[in-house]
Amino acid sequence: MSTLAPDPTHCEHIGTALSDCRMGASLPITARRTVTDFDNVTASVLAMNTHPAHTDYVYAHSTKFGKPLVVSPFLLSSLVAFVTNELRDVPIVGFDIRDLTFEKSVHPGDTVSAKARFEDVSTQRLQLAVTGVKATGEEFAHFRLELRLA
Amino acid sequence: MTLSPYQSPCWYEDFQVDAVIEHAQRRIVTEADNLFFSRLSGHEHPSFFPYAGGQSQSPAVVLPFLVLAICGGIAVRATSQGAIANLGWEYVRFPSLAHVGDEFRAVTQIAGKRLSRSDLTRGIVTIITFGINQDAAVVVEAKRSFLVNTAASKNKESVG
Repeated sequence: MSTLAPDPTHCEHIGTALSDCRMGASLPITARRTVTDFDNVTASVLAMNTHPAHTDYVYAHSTKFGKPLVVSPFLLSSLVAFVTNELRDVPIVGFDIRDLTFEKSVHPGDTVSAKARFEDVSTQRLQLAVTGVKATGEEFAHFRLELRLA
Repeated sequence: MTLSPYQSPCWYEDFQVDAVIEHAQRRIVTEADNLFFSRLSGHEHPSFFPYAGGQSQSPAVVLPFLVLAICGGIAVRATSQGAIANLGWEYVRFPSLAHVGDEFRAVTQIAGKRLSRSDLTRGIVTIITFGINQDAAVVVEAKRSFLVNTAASKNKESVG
């Protein structure tokens, strides 16, 4: 005998709707994650990145940081994911990144998240000022994320 | 046309502004790359994670950050292999979508360099890397700066 799933009575919604995005307001972001050695080495080798600061721990320990650095495109991808995952129902068709600066180093074992504030809101475009922040409160990156909407 | 061979730089002084480097490595991006990198960095939004369901495009659009990672990664050996740290990107653009199965190559222009204001044994190099697919469409353009040692720092610190 086959089993039928019950008819839904509620619908899950994730994140903030476009109608609730307000210029000057912060986007609520609750997610954060610990970057692991696996994340870092995998993201580096998958992308053909040969810099030894990510994959050669003997070298990494000889640098002024004393430990491996997290590879930047992975870090950027993770920060944007923190933001766009909270805009799950917003129809994004393209985006640009501008003025990205890394002020502090990030290492495997660090727990990271993002803060984001709306700088411009329209039906065609969202612009956010994004900050990468560690669980310690240390801010390590700033950039502008411009999202083009359908 | 035969291009001049490019000597990968070790020190700040070795970077030749306006040189344009055709990188040796190429990379075909696969479905496994796309799914794995997307989830490794946590994407759930359907515009960034084509395996979220509800819409399907075949072949799938490649996560732009994977495009950046691969095309930037291909460029490392000839540019920032000896860098102390990545300082950031002035801009990252994705003029054309990339799709699973595309073959990426990369070209980098050395856009500028200057000595650090706080430490004259270090310099900041700025490059623009273009990721290009098999149809000669630019799939990523990224301008970034990184910190490197000068030859004068040789006795101060080993950079590898």
